[in-house]
Amino acid sequence: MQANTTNGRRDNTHVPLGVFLIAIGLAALWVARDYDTGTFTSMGPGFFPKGISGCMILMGILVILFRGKDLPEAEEDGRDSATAIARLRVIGLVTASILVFAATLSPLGLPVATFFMVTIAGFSHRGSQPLAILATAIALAAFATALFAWLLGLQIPVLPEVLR
Amino acid sequence: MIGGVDVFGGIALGLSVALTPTNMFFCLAGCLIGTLVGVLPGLGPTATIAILLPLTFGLPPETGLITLAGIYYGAQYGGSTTSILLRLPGEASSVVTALDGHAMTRNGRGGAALTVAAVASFFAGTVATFFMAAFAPILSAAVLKFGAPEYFMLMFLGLITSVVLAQGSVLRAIAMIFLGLLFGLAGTDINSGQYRYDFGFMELLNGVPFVPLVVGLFGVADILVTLENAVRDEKPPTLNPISSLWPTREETKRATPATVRGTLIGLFLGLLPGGGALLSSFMAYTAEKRVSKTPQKFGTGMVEGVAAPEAANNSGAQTAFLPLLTLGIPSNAIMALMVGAMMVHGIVPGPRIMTSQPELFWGLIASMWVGNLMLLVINLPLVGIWVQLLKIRYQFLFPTILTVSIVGIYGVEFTTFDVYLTAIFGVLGYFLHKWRCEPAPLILAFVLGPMMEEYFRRSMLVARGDPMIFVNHPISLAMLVATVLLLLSICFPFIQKFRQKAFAE
Amino acid sequence: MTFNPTRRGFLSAASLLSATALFGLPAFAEEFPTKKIDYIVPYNAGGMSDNISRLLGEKLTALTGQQVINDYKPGAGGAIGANYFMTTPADGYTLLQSTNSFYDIIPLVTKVQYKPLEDLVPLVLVGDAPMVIAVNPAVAANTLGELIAYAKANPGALAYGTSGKGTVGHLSGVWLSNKGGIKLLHIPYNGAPAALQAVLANEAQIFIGPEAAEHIASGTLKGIAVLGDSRWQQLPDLPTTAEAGITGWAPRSWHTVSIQAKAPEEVKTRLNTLINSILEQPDVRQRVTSFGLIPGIETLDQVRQRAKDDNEQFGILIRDAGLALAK
Repeated sequence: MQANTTNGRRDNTHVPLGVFLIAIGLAALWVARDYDTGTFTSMGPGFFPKGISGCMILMGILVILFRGKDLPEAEEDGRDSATAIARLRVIGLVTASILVFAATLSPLGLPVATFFMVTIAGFSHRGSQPLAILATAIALAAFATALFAWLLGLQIPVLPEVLR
Repeated sequence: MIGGVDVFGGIALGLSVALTPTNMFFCLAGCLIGTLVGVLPGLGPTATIAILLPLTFGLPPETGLITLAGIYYGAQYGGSTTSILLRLPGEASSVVTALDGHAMTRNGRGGAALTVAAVASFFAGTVATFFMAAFAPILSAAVLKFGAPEYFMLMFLGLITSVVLAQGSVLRAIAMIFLGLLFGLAGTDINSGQYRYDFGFMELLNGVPFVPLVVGLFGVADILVTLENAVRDEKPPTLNPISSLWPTREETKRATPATVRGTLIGLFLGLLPGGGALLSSFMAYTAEKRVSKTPQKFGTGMVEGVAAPEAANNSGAQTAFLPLLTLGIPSNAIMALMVGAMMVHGIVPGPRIMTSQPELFWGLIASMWVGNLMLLVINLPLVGIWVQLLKIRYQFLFPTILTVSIVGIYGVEFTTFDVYLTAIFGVLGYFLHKWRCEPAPLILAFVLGPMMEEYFRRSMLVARGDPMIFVNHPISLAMLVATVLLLLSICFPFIQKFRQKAFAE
Repeated sequence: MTFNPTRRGFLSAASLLSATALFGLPAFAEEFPTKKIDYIVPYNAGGMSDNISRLLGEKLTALTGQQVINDYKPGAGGAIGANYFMTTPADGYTLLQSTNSFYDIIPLVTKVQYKPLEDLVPLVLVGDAPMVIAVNPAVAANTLGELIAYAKANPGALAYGTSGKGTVGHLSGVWLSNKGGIKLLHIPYNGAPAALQAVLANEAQIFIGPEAAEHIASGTLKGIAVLGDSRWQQLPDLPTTAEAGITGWAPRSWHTVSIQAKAPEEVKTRLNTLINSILEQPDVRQRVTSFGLIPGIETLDQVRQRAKDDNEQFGILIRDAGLALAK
């Protein structure tokens, strides 16, 4: 019996997925260990969590065991992923941009935080010129402030903390 | 007279209230704001209505409520836009539309999808308005027949059929359902008060917030995948050019019965407090997939998959007002805000509103139809504009999406905790995509799961521990039978294949 | 030098004193507030607390010329907003819209960053929300006595629906069970509207809380009694629990505005005076009544005593019901 193949390459996604599911299931079970379980007709707060965690572990095992045969025939997009470094760059920069926004929103105000977010995220796009990124960042910072803080009147800090 | 209510007199009174220049102006304003807010991922009608509530205090009560209602169902129209074009649901109700809606966009039929969504919504809104006007007292009696066992069965049925949402591996879809159930468990357990999976964060005591989850799993993850593909393919990401704005004859032929079915489903499910827009739209989608001759094509751009959920969420949005107007019970957070708006004017919502405040009751219902008409007129030309916006180069488009989503998310609860969550879910969504898993079943289980548990435990309380309550209540029994039949019909093909294989060996 | 008040000196001192008395408090407190006030509302917009805060805010602005901005911080039944409030400066420019729950229930069932009455104190009494006992019309009891008798004859048959575990409604049910010597089944729901719907459908039979008022008036629910010792104007035919023989403290729910204990005393007194003067205005009284509350005016000491009494009594109920913080 052949493992699932696409374009002659093996689809190994079942491994990381299975491990992930088992890990989450185990973690969830551990966190819920002290919740009162109760009985089926008199469920405590722990019944469902423990049951679901158990099922997740089972799912993880099944996914690994099926070795990708559960997937339908190869879809059009059978190409490899990009290189690990490129993926890390994309994920890392976009995620970082959101985290930076959250961290700088209160201390630095909405326009500055937005500017940082768009700039950092901009560099994750392959082939963007730095000047274009900065211009976009400025434009979006202004737009976001105009839309959310002025037009919609949300109580979002606009000025940096020091100026308030 | 239907059920003792003079319907035509009521409609006449309602129209006379709704068609005054002031009320029409404010209805339009509400619809416009609602559309805008619906389009913005993150910020939703709830937050917007909360902000604009004080502005309505100076207005007469009917005008105030008409405006707020306009924002609410206007958001249903707007929510489908980003859902279809960008696969970023603006509202809970448009999560299901994103499936086939965005697929249609990828096929170049995005304009048609938007048009179908608008027309289906209008049809549904019209039917719903009439329904409410004619059957208000009967419908409210029906609402009271739904107790904990009935709700549980409904949610359970929904959850089982959510396997239907699976486009790829059914096994992985089920895994996603369990993951969604797990996320849904976080928060304060209603029946015992126990904090579950809160990790010490007070922000999680009300559960994982919905918007960061959806925007993270759909929107941010999408951005991550698209950017990665751009690197891998060494060319900028582009979308198929939109061919035309109007649906073809064939598409219209298929969309029409789907719209009717979706409307009916939304009509009833929207009535149930807590039933919600997601349940209506999802059940409508499921029904379409079941009655379709080509169910396997769902998810690749079937117009029925857009028409039915959009009709359902719009008719559901209208009928959601009914428990408030007839029983004084708000069905969701937005209705609760309406209660606040009424109480400021000294109007106490309750069973007597129809007789003690007829202008308010009928005026509001009539204005819903007027509002739907306005929304159709507003949204159709907008289709052309949205489609133009899609042509912006991705390097400018994705930061815009990112900005509007993230700032919008902050604007809901004004806590950066939600923003951090969005980033986490974005990364999770990316990996789930890489691992060939679908986010839609996760979202569904996330919404339905905790409710299912709550209703089951409450059913046991009410039944004093007797599980036969699900069989003793007729509506619950009917749904139990339906669930079993459905399960059998899903498993039957697998059993067939298994037996064939067994015989072949 | 001996102390020798000249007549002139005495006169000028007297006139200064009387001038101060005429113009009220000393100059520096008169200036409060001199900038905008942040009004923390620990719930979502649209609820009772929101309506009250908007009303008071509007009138405060009219009275003092300073802006009052509503800041919503919902979650955890009010605990999130309260915890956030405790991090704001204790200068009177941040206020917390609150109920007595913040003093008697929330700190005992949730982790909060303040000790009630030591770190957080109430400023005024805005109004009492009458706790009404309502039952589904199908229940074979028309008075409290009959209800208790029915419950004694059928232990565990009657259930009461509440807006959640540990709410005033829940504790009222516990109180009723204790006082009546009966067993009632508690069914928690997700908020008052859901609980009301359940009682309307007879899934639960009893509802205790102010939200039932409109249903009693329209006849969809039967009114049995109102908790406490005074009848409610809006439902004058409802007997009180005291009339039915249950005297003494009864659970109650009232709205207030709170401030950090560390805030200057003059600011607290000033706010109490200001808000009481607002509450005395006839149109404000009328609006508060239309919200379903019973307006009342109390001094700082009176309202503090109120909170203290509730803290004690609710504490007993909470321990009885086994709800004390164990999460």
